[in-house]
Amino acid sequence: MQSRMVDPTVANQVELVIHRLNSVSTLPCIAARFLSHLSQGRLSAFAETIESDPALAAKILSLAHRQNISYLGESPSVRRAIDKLPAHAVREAVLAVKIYPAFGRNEQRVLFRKQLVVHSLAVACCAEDIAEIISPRMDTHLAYSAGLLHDIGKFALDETMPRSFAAIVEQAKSQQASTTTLEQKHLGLDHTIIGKRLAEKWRLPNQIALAIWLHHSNTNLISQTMPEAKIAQVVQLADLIARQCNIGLSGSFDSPRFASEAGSTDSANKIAQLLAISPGQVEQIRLNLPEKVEQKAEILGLNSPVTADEYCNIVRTVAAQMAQKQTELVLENRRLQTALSHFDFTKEFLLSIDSNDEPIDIAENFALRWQKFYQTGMVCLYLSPPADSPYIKAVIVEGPSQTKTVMLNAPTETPPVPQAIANSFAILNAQDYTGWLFEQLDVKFDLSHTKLVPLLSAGRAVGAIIFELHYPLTSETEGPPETELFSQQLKTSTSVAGTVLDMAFACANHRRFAEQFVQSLAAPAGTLPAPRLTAQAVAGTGSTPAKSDVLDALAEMAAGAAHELNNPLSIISGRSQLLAQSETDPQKKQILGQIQNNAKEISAIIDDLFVFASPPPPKSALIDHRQILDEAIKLASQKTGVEQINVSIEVVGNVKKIFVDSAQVAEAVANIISNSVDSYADSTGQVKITACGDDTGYFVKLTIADTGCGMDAETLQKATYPFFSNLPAGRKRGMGLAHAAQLIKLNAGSLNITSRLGDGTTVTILLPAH
Amino acid sequence: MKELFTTGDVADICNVSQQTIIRCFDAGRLEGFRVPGSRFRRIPRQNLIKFMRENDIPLGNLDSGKRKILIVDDDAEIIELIVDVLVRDGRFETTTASSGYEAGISTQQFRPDLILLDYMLPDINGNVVCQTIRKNPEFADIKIIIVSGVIKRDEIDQLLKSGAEDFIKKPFDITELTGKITTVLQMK
Repeated sequence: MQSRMVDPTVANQVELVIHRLNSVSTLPCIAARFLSHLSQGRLSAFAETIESDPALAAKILSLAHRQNISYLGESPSVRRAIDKLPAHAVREAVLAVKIYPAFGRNEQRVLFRKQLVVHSLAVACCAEDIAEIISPRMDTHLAYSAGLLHDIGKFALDETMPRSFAAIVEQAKSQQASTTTLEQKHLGLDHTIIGKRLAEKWRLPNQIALAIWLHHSNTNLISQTMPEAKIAQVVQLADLIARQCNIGLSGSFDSPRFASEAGSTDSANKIAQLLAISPGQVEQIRLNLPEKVEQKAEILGLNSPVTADEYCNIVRTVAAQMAQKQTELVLENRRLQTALSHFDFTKEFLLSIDSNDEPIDIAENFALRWQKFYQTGMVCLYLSPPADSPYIKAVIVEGPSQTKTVMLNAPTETPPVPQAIANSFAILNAQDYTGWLFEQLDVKFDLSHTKLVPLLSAGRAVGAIIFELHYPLTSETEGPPETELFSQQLKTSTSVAGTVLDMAFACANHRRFAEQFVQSLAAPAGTLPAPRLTAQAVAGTGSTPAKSDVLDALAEMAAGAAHELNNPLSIISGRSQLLAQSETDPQKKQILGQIQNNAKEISAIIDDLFVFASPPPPKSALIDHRQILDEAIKLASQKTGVEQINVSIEVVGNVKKIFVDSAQVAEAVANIISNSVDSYADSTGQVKITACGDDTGYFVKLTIADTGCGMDAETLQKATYPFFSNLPAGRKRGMGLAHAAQLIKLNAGSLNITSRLGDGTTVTILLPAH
Repeated sequence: MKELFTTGDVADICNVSQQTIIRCFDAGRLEGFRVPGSRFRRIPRQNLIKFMRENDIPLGNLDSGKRKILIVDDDAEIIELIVDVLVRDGRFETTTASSGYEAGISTQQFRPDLILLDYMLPDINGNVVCQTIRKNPEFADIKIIIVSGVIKRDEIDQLLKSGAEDFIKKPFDITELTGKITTVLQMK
């Protein structure tokens, strides 16, 4: 290389080139080492490799800064950075490192690069030893790291302008000179400045940057005014000792024993003296150094060169391994995503439930979500019936807004939930087990694709869910593990539903028990709460469970009474008839007739009670009011035994047709007419019936008025109570008005009674008009 | 009740060949007459019974002429009452059963013309008995009348749909009972 004056623009250009450098590359033999450590999971060896290579070490320190790693009062170092960084971040950074282009290149250059690494190691080890001696004034890890990175500028020069740098080194060798001087001469700046720039750019720790920058300066002087420059002093001494020992090549060939340029470098001895290290200690360091560096070089594999083929093989192995890990991660990720979506599904379901929800509401809620989440076709969720109940409640979901609740007859020959899934989870083909259910539904399931799974709670099915599954359970691409996974997820979600339903059942039962308990406390023993019963009957459909329970109980009691009493009544009645047939004495015949009639009467009372407790639902049709009145008068005539009832009918205006069950309304009106007839002492008084439209136009108004005995306020109040009668005991059963009021309400009408004692009674009925 | 039999009828009842009956008739051992203006042989009931007794042929196969009624009820007194009513009437032969299970067996053995079936049985619902009998083509001619103390319009409709001919509510009028039976069996 020819010596010439440096063009100032050269320095700028060099700085520009260096500035673009994001990292320096590592040697293929080192890469081969860390890749094989990585693939075999030897993490501590992996960390040691990083700690021994300047390129990797610089990268990790830089990463530590970007990740805001705090050294918590300790001095920064590569080892500490590795310890504090997440393993994946370290791995990622190391795998992204550039590889020195060694293959097919000038072997001299590769050799020099290796020697430069060895030199860095030697300085690092040496600095560590020095720090050890002067500890605690200097941190050993920091000293090691600073030593390792002190010539990072040279690595950068070798990387960015290999030819110029090679020429400088060559010249230094031939002139026995320092590269620093030649760098200044040819490039306008040396590797310490370049190193400092890089340290700043890569955000290496300040102390390390100082060591890089100042390790060729007059550190003795600087550290007097700037105590933190002591690290540069240590590294400078280490550099000198390493070069004296001829371990590795720094590229400088000046004699390290003496200052080559006045004031710029101190002799090793002077520095050692200033650091309070005795010549003996320096000697000891020198003696230990070769072995220490040898160990480090071994870690890096510097002495076992790899061929391009070997290197490629290692890379291929690691790549394959990574690919496999990647696949596993993708699968795991998918599994987690599925699990998460199921978690969301159950979470939303659970959040949507109110503690007061009835089991069937919860079932509907779940069935709807089920269809949406699993993208199934039609869904039918049915609940296991309580013991002995012949009915099963079920929810059918045809579409997002098409749901209905139905009552089904429980199967007689099989349990509602098949034995195979009564206590454990499995996915069955519904058509093999629930034919009884499909028979009763008016919707058609696609049976070849319909599955059945249980809703389990504590190992017991509280119901089951049937659904059309239009995608295959066993997927060719996913294989058995996916199927197993899907099955597991179904098991989880159905178990959640099962448990919730089970609790809802328990809750509903408790509520019912509580209501019954309160009721039994409120009602005096042995009496029926008659007034409330009437109110209930008039209210019609039974809006609260407590009231409908009373009616249910009454209906059940009446049915039981009908069965239990009608048998003995049959015997009484039948035997008296047989006796009467063979009896010739007319008086005895009459007595036997009385027995038979009274048995019939008792039976009629029971029937009344039974019908009152569970009235048949009305079968409404359009009908003319006149037809109903005629029928009612005929019936009343039968009831009262009055052949020609004195009745007048007046129709005001045009009266619309009404929409009711004519038999029920005629029965009701007949009861009212009968009462009117009975209100006259001689049963011949007039009953005046008026029919007209009401003001709203929605109703037809019928008034039935008599001028008979009338009722006082107390009697009027109880008029519609069952078994209440103002007539002398034994005359009537007292069900007439109660039954009439009930039938009118059942037919969406209303009944109102006004009466005054001695003045007569007027009953007003409103019935729905067409 | 059948009063006049052909040789074929007699052969069936006595379980022998028609030829044998003709031989007995012609030999005068089985008395009867020929239909005037033809050669057809006819045997009056009295002569047939005499012939069967003389030859030790069991009378079981000879139709008593009474209609067979199976009474099913779990209440023994009800059964007793109905049996009394029907026996007094004289036109009926009765057998009884107190459960759905017994009813099934009696139907098989007794081959009733009509079953009076209590709806509320201790073991099986009357509805099921009704359906079971109706399912068997062998029993297609058996009529069923339901007897029950409970009246529910829809349940009765259901029973009539299941194959019952009529319904009688307990307690019943005994003339109504025999009236319904004779109507269903078309005896009037």
